[in-house]
Amino acid sequence: MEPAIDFLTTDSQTYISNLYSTDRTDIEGAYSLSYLSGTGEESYFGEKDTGPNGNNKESTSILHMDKADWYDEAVSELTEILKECGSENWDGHGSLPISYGTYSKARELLKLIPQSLPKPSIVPEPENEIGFEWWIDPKTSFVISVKDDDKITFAGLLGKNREIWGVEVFEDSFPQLIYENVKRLFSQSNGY
Amino acid sequence: MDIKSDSVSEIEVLTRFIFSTSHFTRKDSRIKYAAFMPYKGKTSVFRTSNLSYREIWNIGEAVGDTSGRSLKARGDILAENVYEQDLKVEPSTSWHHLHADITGWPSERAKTKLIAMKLASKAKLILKSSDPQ
Repeated sequence: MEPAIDFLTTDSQTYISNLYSTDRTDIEGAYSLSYLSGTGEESYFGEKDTGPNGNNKESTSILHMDKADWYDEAVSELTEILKECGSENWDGHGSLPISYGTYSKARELLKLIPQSLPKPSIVPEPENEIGFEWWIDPKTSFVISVKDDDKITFAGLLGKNREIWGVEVFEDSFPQLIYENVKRLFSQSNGY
Repeated sequence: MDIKSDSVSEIEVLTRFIFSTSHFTRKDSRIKYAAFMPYKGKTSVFRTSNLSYREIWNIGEAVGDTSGRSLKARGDILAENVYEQDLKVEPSTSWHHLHADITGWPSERAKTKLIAMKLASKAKLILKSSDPQ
């Protein structure tokens, strides 16, 4: 139920009602969080799964595949981001510059993304990280990101009742846990 | 209730001004998660309930003038959606009486991203170029 909004003007009440009516991604129910050892000593992930098939998976084996068809296009975008975001405050809110070290890590990671996955959006983040985002709808998306260290951070909204987040060690191949979740994202949505 | 009070009501509209074209997409008409990610633990927003479109854009342009950036778009979100993520909205009025910071972000980068994704999923994108004003 919407709370009383009498103190607002009529226009504001209408606008707020419209915001309330947008699709919601509230997640209800039980909460389970697992920190599991993975391929490296600092790998971990957490999951929140209220569906019937909640699971705990080891973050283990790694895929190694040829670079994707969209690799060159993605590298061009990445290079543009380095140009646009290479000085501080590029986001107008005080952001750190995207460093060449972060750009290099992102470029390495791009090369590792299996060609069976679609091209992600490339997104600069305010604290010198670059994210790769696969987005299906407001409830279904996955982000991996890197900075100039040896970690891959990931987070995913996997439908109404599932979410996952964690860290993988950046090695010389693509983490299987991430691959499987991104692949599932698309297989759920359109039979990809 | 006073919209300028020290406590931000859950039904207030919070506006995040966007200065990077990498933080939204026209194609899907949506804001990307990174637009809500904090810098030094804070995401800067403005309390814009009861303001006209022109007044809201004027604030955004003033922010852009301060930072030397061109305003591209804005994201509007209800404070309730922020509170649902166990975040806080703290008025921070030294620069502008309607300014506030979203605080209380987790220390884990991954969890922060997940929350930013949820905020972005609730926010409404309004392009500077397409707003009727």
